[in-house]
Amino acid sequence: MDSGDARQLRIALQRYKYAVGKMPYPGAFASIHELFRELSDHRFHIRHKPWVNAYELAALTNYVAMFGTDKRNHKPFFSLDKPLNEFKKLWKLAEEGSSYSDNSDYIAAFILRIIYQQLPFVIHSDRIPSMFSRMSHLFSTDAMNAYAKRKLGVGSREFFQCSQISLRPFLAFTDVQGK
Amino acid sequence: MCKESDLAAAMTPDTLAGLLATLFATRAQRLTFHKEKLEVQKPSEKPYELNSLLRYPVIRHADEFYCPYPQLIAYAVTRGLFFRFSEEDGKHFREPFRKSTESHVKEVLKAVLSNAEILTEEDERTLGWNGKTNDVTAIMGDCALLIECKLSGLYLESKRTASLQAIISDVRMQIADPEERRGIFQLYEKSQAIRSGRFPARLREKYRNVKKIYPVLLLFDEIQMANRAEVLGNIIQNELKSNGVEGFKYQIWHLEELDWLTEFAKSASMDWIAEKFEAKNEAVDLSSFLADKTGNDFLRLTLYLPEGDTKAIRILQGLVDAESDPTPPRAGRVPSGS
Repeated sequence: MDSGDARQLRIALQRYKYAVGKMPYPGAFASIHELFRELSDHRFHIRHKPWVNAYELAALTNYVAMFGTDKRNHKPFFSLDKPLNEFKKLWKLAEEGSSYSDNSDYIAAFILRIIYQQLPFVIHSDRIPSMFSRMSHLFSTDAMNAYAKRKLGVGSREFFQCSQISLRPFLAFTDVQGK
Repeated sequence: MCKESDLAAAMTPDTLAGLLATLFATRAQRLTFHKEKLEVQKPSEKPYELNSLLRYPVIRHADEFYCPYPQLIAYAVTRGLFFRFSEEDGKHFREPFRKSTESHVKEVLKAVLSNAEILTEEDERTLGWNGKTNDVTAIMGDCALLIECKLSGLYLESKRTASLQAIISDVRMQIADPEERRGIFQLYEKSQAIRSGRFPARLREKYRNVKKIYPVLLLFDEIQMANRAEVLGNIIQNELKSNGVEGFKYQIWHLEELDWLTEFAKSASMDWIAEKFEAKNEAVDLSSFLADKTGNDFLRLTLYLPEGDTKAIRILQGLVDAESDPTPPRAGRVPSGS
């Protein structure tokens, strides 16, 4: 990557952080939640909104949770397009500057980082019950249950059951826009 | 948004306290966690920075809780806890968890393959075998499914950078360790032992009819596309070849995939496994194979690539053109006002 590219990346990062800093905290979470719900309903690819993907939206949510504005005298952005587009530009520049191997044997090894970047955020509703039950089963041996009690303060079965219960109130949409 | 009282009604105070400590973070806690554990400095690595929501999916603001993407709670208490406990307690967590994984695999296979004999490593040791073996074996008719369980195949550096150096180092340590002859080497040596019949008599009797062997390295922490030659396959084959193993057919799957396989195929699981090992199916992920067989598209991987003429898109386009897979969607710009 030459110094011009590096400079462009720094500028893109600053612009992204600036846009995030104008997002209202916690007011932005209502529209973010709605978009996540739409993504999930459309199995993570909304044909009429091909620019929306769970990974970018989660990256934005994370930064809004840390750096969004909670100052009452700030005029915040409520639209997600500005910060999302700044993030897209940052990602595009980072990818353009990536030096992937030309060796044909390993030519697609780079995809692993894109997989791990995005995979955790593609959680289809059909998978969720089995995710909980599998983990609960893996923690059901005496050794793992004792470990869970020590680490989580409660037995593993109760912990996983209640984790699943805790999902429910958040799945119901609550309008906090403009808060 | 919800409040503590919404959750308190559904659980005991101890459980609620455990959940709050595990999944919920205030802005200050999140910032500290981000700065100490996750933040990368190079702007070029920012798009690959780990996200604090994977650890703490719930945002705690005064007496209010926000969880813009509730499904992440499922991630945080499953794979998220696995990474967290691995990091905090190392082998004190990983060793009992690995044993638990092996026993889960044994139970899952037993439940669907009622005509199969399921053997663990311990069973085979009891029958006098001292050579290399694998964690769980299912023998059914002339087929033997050999499963070696591993918790992880790649570490964080490989996942975040995909640098060849880091990947090769992890492959040697986790997937095909030539020094200790672990991982795929174990499966190879066990397969050789079955073919040559060099077992103690009681064990030899069990493998007497076996003609088809299906060796599987089963990960808890998944590696998607692990069976693709251009992703990980050639790296592994090179390691095997430089250590005297050539043309060995194996599969890398992960635990969730095995659970889906047995759930969908039930008593036909061994037939589906045989089909997965056919040349036409060997490069795809087990989940894609299952999606094709069952029509459950949620098992398919969806990836996005950025807009622009990046090297990534050129390489993938070449592979797509060669194999007519669906083209990955581009994460293009949001039209203003959307």
